[in-house]
Amino acid sequence: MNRHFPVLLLGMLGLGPRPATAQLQVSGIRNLAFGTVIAGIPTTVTPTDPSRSGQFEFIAPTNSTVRLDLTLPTALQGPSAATMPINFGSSDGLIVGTAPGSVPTRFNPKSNRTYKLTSARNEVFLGGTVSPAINQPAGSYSATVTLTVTIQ
Amino acid sequence: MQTSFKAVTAAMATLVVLGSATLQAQTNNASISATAVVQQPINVTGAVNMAFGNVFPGVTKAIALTDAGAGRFDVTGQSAAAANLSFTLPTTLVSGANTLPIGSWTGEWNGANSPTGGTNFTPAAALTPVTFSPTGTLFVFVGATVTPATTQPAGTYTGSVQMTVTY
Repeated sequence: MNRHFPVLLLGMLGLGPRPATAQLQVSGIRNLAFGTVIAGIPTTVTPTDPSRSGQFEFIAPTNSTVRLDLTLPTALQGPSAATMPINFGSSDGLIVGTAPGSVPTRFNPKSNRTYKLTSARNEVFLGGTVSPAINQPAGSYSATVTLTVTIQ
Repeated sequence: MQTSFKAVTAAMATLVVLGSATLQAQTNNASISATAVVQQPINVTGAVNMAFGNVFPGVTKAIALTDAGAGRFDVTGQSAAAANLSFTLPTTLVSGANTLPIGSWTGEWNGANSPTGGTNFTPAAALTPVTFSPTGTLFVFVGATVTPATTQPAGTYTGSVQMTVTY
């Protein structure tokens, strides 16, 4: 019997966390890409933009309630420590399930949001506005956006 | 053996509780980037008017790109960036109710302020690809031909040549 205990214990170690991990997957699909912007001219990307909006995807159990938290930058980092402001409006977030009949819902990406899932697979889209200064140094700018999903 | 069995049972119970707690507050995350490329704004200046000077009825007159009367636009923008030119061109110069045909447009763009050594093109509404110099300058030279009729009324004839530059 003693020989069986370690095997049983190892089985428990494996079975405990594994199903939980498989229940929630979050992926970054597409960058929020403003493309070429002109110094002094703000540029906006809407969350419905099919090629430039940011996109995440998460998979969680249907009918579960999840909380979405987006960690948003206030500026993009550029060459020689230059920064460029980036802002997110109150309807720059959009979530939609992939199940038939799912209704897209706009939300404020600056606030966490609780969402009752009607689909297992869900898409989160993000828009925003960059505001380059008139003397904004030329070059490539970027920052990181993180989506954290919590099953409640 | 009994002691060992109890210890293992306690460990199993603890693991089950931990497993359930993880299920109820499971968190995961992923990141993307927000990206942009900043370029300098384009500034276009009509630097030199096209000037045919005196022309005579029945005598066609052309302005070559290297002539003093050639038109010139000065442009600044993002260094080494690609852009496009397009033109709105008159078909006639106007003097009151009288008109003077103008056509046979010629052009050259150059990163340096010189009507030679650049790239020749035909000014038109269709886009012409160009490239800013490493210092962000672009010079565009324009020539054309006027064709006065043998009965062309005397007078001062003018028209507008508009050039648009876009990234």
